[in-house]
Amino acid sequence: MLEIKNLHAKVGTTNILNGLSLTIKKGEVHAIMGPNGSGKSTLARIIAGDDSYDVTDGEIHYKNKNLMELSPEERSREGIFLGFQYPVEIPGLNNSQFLKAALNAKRKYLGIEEIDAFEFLKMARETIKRLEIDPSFLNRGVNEGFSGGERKRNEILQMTMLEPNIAILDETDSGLDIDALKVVAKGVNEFRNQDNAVILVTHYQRLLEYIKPDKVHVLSEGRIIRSGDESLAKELEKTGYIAEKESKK
Amino acid sequence: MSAQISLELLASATKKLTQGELSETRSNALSNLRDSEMPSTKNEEWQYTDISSVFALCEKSLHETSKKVKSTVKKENCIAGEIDAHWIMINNGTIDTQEVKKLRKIGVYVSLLSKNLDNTEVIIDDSLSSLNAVLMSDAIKITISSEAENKKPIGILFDNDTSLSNHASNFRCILEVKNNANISIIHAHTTKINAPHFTNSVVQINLGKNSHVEYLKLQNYSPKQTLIEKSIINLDLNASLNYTSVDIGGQLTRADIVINFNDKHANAIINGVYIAGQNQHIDNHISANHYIGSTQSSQNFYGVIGGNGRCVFNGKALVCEGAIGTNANQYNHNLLISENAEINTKPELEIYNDDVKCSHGTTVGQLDKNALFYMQSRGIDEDIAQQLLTKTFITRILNGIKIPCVKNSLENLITNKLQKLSR
Amino acid sequence: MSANKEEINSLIESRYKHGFVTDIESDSLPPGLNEDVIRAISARKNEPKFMLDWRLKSYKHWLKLNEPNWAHVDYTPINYQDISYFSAPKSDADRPKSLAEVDPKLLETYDKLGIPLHERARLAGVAVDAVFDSVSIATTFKKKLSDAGVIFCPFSEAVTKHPELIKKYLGSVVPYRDNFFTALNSAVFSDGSFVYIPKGVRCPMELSTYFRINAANTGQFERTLIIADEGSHVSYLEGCTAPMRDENQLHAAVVELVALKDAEIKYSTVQNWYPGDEEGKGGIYNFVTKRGDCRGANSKISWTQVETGSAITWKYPSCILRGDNSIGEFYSVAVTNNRQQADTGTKMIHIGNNTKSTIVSKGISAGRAQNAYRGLVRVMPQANNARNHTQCDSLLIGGDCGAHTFPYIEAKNPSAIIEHEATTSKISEDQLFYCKQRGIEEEDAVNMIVNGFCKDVFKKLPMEFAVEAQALLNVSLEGAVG
Repeated sequence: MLEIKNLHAKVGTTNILNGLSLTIKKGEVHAIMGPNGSGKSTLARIIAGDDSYDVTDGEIHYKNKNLMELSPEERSREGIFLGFQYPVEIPGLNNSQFLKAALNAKRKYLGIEEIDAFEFLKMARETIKRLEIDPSFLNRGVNEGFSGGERKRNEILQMTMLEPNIAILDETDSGLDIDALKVVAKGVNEFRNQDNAVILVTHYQRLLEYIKPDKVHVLSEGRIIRSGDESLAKELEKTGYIAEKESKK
Repeated sequence: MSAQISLELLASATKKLTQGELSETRSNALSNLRDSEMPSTKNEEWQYTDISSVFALCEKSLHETSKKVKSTVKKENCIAGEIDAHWIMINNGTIDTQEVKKLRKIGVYVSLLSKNLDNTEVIIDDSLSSLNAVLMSDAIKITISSEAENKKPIGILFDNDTSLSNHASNFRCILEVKNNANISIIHAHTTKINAPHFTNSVVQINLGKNSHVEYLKLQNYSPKQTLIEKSIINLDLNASLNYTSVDIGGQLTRADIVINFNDKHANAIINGVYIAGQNQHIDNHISANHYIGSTQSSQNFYGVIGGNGRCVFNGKALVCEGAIGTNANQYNHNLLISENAEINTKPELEIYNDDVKCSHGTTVGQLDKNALFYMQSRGIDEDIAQQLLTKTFITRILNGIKIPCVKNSLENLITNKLQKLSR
Repeated sequence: MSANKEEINSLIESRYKHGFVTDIESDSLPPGLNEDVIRAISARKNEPKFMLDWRLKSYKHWLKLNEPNWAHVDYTPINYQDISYFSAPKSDADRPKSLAEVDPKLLETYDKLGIPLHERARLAGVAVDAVFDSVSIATTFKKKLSDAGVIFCPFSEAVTKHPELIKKYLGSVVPYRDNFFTALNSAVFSDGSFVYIPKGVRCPMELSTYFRINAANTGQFERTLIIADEGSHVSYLEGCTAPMRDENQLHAAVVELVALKDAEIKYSTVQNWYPGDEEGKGGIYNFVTKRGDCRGANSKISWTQVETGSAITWKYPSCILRGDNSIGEFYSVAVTNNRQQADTGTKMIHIGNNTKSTIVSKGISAGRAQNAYRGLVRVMPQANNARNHTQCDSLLIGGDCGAHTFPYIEAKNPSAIIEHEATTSKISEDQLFYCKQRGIEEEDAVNMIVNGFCKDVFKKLPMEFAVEAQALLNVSLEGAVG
């Protein structure tokens, strides 16, 4: 579904990704782990089309399309979802208004009839109930005055409603208490199926107790230095990233 | 020129003063005065502060015959004695040569502009700074070299100028901070005169590249004195300034602080505390001019007003076209603690580009009644509780002063003042 | 993510949709202003002598004044002798008695403006006092209102039918000597609306006036006076739009509101006059004085405005909080694009005890426009327990525009609690990227973000006005991208 080949990227003059390659197939959940500054978030934002990063080399293919030719909104409508590490506040803009606009933008792009307000609300309420999210979410401004945990839950709500083909969750577990973590994990587990894929970008192994990954990759200095299965995460938990990095040298 | 001060008198007065290399500056300033008006309350910038009385005082001083009076002020009597600093005492436009020698050893050079102008710009951009240039007995230039030692702060104590009279003094100090220099300055307006007196002060500060200045302006004049001070501060690349103004005394105080950001990554914190009681008027006007982007200014002024005290705050930030990445904010908080206290405040933003972060906030209010009650219920007297809470209100600004040796003296001054206010 | 400059510029351009000129012959006075002109205006309106005397007094005072220049706006000087001070549709002598008699061309004009008069009136239950140029032409729902005892009529009619009310209240909130433009307006005002709500009456419908400016070189000098007697309640809507024109047109209206004991007046404005073209050519000069007097205890006056039009806006709807426990509110959205200039805000004068005021101002600036908030909160020494909260936000779109804030706060009573907050920001790239990541087009994202920014004000507008306001906002900023 998603194929990244030899990706190099920088911000200003600082190199962040230095030849990263990764292949993700339908139905897979990949965890990308690594210390701060290893390039995890950069990778997530480049896939979503953030042009504040310069991609200097390499390719990204998604559903056999050259992803780099698509605008961020086109990528979104093609089914790429980024759960942001720090979801931004948009004061005054109603969450449900926002979600409906997003949903209809995608439906219009795919040539499906746009959804009306009544149908949308019904769908949104059902989703909220299923995810055990507070119904007041819909009436509040987009992330306006949300706590860290609420913001992350809001990302999961959006992911569930937009039904992407690939969801990249950037540090979705950071700053969450155990209850919020369970809500997030529940959302992801309900979301994953044979036709879609998930990339979990995370610093800690904790999230992986609740969401079982098919593959775990360790990122360091802008490239993947080790890949393995679930057990790699557990091993990292014990030895830490430093040891991992040292052993590779 | 305005009717307030006769030009003939000014012309004859300025002749009595040291000319030397300042003669051209003085004559330019005098001709400036011919075409300019003295500020009046009709002027937007002066609408809350009426300074007409000081011109009368100034005029009166010009009628007097010159009688130089040797300073009787001891630095012990005016806080300078309490604070361990290298004090530069300026008396009738002269400085103690012993002190100058000592300072030279630590990389601080003091000179008189009448003897050596050295291309220094003496700013005469409005009527008050022109009046200052006409009547000052001399201008002091302090150069802080890159290697200047910063173990102790430099203290500037202007011992009121009696070159012309005992009613008005004009003081000018030019502070040249060289690239990479790091220095703490205490500028004290603390010599008390127990008679109507007008001090017209101009301070010019240039901060070189990568320099850092901690600056404290302390004003604790007698209730009969007036201080009008204009400070013009220029910041070069990566320069940083932490400026605190503390106004406690005086009858009428007006400060204009102009900060010019002339290159990137310069930043300035301009903080202030003003405490006004019966018959006091304190006016602070601050302009942060962001000519270049990637610069930061932060203004925080806290005021406590009692008696029939009247205060004015006007904090401005100008962000010019193209000054992207500017960060500017202004905060002004006021406590009104008596029936006839008055505050006029106006934080202003003037912004000509979209890539900025600017905000301001102003509050006017009273002490938290719940907190007062809580303290009283623990047995603390109401006026003590009030003083404690009031002090807490201004603590943020006092904590921002990074010159350690002034802490105690300042706290004592403020505690005394607050006691007087609550009485 | 930043859109390039040409892209922004091409997107910001959005032409005025209401620009056209209706071809109705105007019966105008020749340009120029002197006592004879004022006598002529007064005579045509068959005004009683007290009115003429008042006009002449105002005129004499005006001659002594200079045009104010303190606002943050810049324009070529106005020649007051080039303006024609009276213009009425030709058919003035034979005024229509019902909509059917109204000049069909005029109805067509309203149609183009999206104001189908009878339709809107019937469907929305709104009584419309339509002002076409300077003379009121049609007033509907008179019966329903008169049953309730409400007087809602053209100002000129009130002068002859209710002289005692006019004598008592005209100029009592905004004296003719208040400023240059009020003196001018008081001397030459053509017409406007008059509203009187009797004691204890809740006005049965929202009252509405649509102003239009037509006929070249015709300054329009409206005069509105609303009196809410004790315990009454009224909501008044004012909306405006004008034809495209290359010469600047002056509009110097005066609005006076009087709220007596326990009365409430809600005054909403959507202003969409011609802003001039991309180069700043043409457009309306909107120099308006609006002031409300909370004269009685527990009274309330609330101003809500959405200002998207005019080349220059100079406007400070204010409240004098005289009555104890009275409340003043000001909610404003001001949008400037291209070369538009706005200097707008409010004054809240606290005089009574326990008075409260709220100010929410949202300024949006795009293109090469300048947008200033200027406000005054004054607490007089006798006003115990005054409260004010001000929130004043600016949004900048593009690097060539300006946003300015000049809030004056004067507190002379120690029990006052005043809070003022202001922020300036642009639409952040993070917000845009977030929206785009969810599949939303940049232009839609900007509209959504701007509408969100203005929400606190929009929700204060009457329903149908809110919809219109949002649409206007989107048109005014069509595609302006940060």
